[in-house]
Amino acid sequence: VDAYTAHHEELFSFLCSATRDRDVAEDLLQDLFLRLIRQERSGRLPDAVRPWLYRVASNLVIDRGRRLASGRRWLERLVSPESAEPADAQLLRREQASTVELALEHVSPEARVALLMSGHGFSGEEIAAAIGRSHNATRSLMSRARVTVRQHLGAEGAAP
Amino acid sequence: VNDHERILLLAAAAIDFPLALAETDELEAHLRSCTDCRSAAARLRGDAAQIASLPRRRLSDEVERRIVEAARGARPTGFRPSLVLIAAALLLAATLIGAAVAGALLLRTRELPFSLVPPSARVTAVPTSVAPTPTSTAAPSPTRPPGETWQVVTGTPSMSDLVAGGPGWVGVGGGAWTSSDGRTWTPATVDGSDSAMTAVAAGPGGYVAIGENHPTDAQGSGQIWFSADGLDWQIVGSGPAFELGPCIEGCPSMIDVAGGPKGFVAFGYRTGGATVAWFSSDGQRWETLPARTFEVAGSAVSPSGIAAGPSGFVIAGSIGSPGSDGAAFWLSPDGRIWTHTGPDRTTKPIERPFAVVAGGPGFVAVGDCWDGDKICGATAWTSPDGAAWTQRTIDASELPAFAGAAASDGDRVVAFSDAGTAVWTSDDGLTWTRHEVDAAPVSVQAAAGGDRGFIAIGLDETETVYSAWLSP
Repeated sequence: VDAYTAHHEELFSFLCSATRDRDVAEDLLQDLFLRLIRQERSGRLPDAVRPWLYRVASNLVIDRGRRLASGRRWLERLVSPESAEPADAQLLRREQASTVELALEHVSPEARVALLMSGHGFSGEEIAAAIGRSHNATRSLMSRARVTVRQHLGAEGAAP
Repeated sequence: VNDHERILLLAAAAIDFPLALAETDELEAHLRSCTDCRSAAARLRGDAAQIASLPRRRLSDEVERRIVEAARGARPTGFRPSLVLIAAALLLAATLIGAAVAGALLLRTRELPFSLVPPSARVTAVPTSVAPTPTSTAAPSPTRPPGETWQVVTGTPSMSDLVAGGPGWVGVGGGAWTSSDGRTWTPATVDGSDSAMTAVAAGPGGYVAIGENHPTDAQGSGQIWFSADGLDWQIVGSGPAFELGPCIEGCPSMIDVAGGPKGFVAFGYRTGGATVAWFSSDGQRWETLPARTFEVAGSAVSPSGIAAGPSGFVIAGSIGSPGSDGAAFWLSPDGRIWTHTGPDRTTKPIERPFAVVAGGPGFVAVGDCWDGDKICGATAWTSPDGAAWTQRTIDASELPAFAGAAASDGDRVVAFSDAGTAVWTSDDGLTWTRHEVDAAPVSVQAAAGGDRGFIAIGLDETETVYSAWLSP
């Protein structure tokens, strides 16, 4: 409960930005804390809980974007005419996202997770450990992603 | 990449990583003399600051209640299916199993031909027919059939798919690897360093991997690689024919590939969910299959896996819209012409296959059953020829067992839960044996079978270290 109280808000925000889907973020947050509970009950509570939470959260987001989840992910995104979200509702939902979050949609889930972790105060090395890539691969991934995000922010006229 | 672009990448890298001294000198010297680059570097830092100041979101009271309830020891209620339901049930089962299966009892096998009992009964009232076998996962017995004893090897690359071949196994993910024993992995040479591979298959003349190159292309281009030996991969499919579309609330994906005597078939989803598929007779020259190849009476379709067997290629997936969808299969004897082979059932409960393999009587697909509110069990389908399918659903009291990966060695099929404590084996695709394995893989991402047995790649019990599970 202490870990939940201390970290749930920042992790939920992280997951919302990473998945761009509040329902999915809620699912993943529940899954994340249940995994922490499982660790605690099996006597394997990690020494550093916050990095562990971000590491597992990153895995959940990235794995979700990978092959095994793809069928269900896309199935849930497909909408029939009778159940389709009205276009104005979609527009409203997208407007609620900040410009930078919309720009983050243009990079892969892995890169998005990395940039968001950076925004949450993690170093490049810590991010590399979390996403399971080497120092050089993570540096390349993040620097290219930052340039891509900048290009889309510039194209949308929202540069600071 | 010209000098200015390279400097911009250096400026971006400097936000997260310390640069080498020479890089710092080069960056500073360039920025002193290039006003545009100086401005661009400042904008990159501004973007990073914007990302760091994204608004906090508040969790709904209902979700907060569920998590706190779980943390305080009560079994949470009202969790959504998918990952959460699995994890909640697993939590309860793991606790009970931990209490009952102590010490040296590392693996227990029981015949469960779809008459499963709740996890609590499974643990507290072990029937006499169960013969606990003190077979250590650290020393698999060579006398037991494949898939029943497993050995864990921690610290493997994170892979999204595997196939038997090369020196033993060929795996792909953020790169490609080969291994003769599943323990030691050698990185392969891969054309396109910023690409991620999602699936791999063996077929005529070599291996094919599919993936995307999102890190350098916001349009989400699909890519196809070919390798004669699993050691050296060249891009053989890229460009306009493989464009998937932009990432909009998730990126489009290459999903799966299969190889058989007639060639290879790969498929993926474009932005918005439209299925796109390609065929190649040799793995190197690819043609795009006609649009609407998999369309069924105007319904939305969602293929999720492909396999190749003696009668051709089979794709398993779903048709219909969420809430009124159902399993669907397609068959092609040659990889080019496809026929929807049913079943057409789209009523509740909804059964949806997640993976299909060649094995058992011909083909075996595994998935779950969803009653609209919760997962009501695991489901298996079998077919001797890919045309006529038989379906069996596991008792609703069991954990959803097949949400993860499946693999076949040609005869026997193994399946893994998405966050499981168990491995399932079947020789006919309909009668399954559940093997409770100590330190079972969590979040299995990839699995394969072959002459050397089975292998699965997933997270270990700490949820953080990718590991291999081997069953000789």
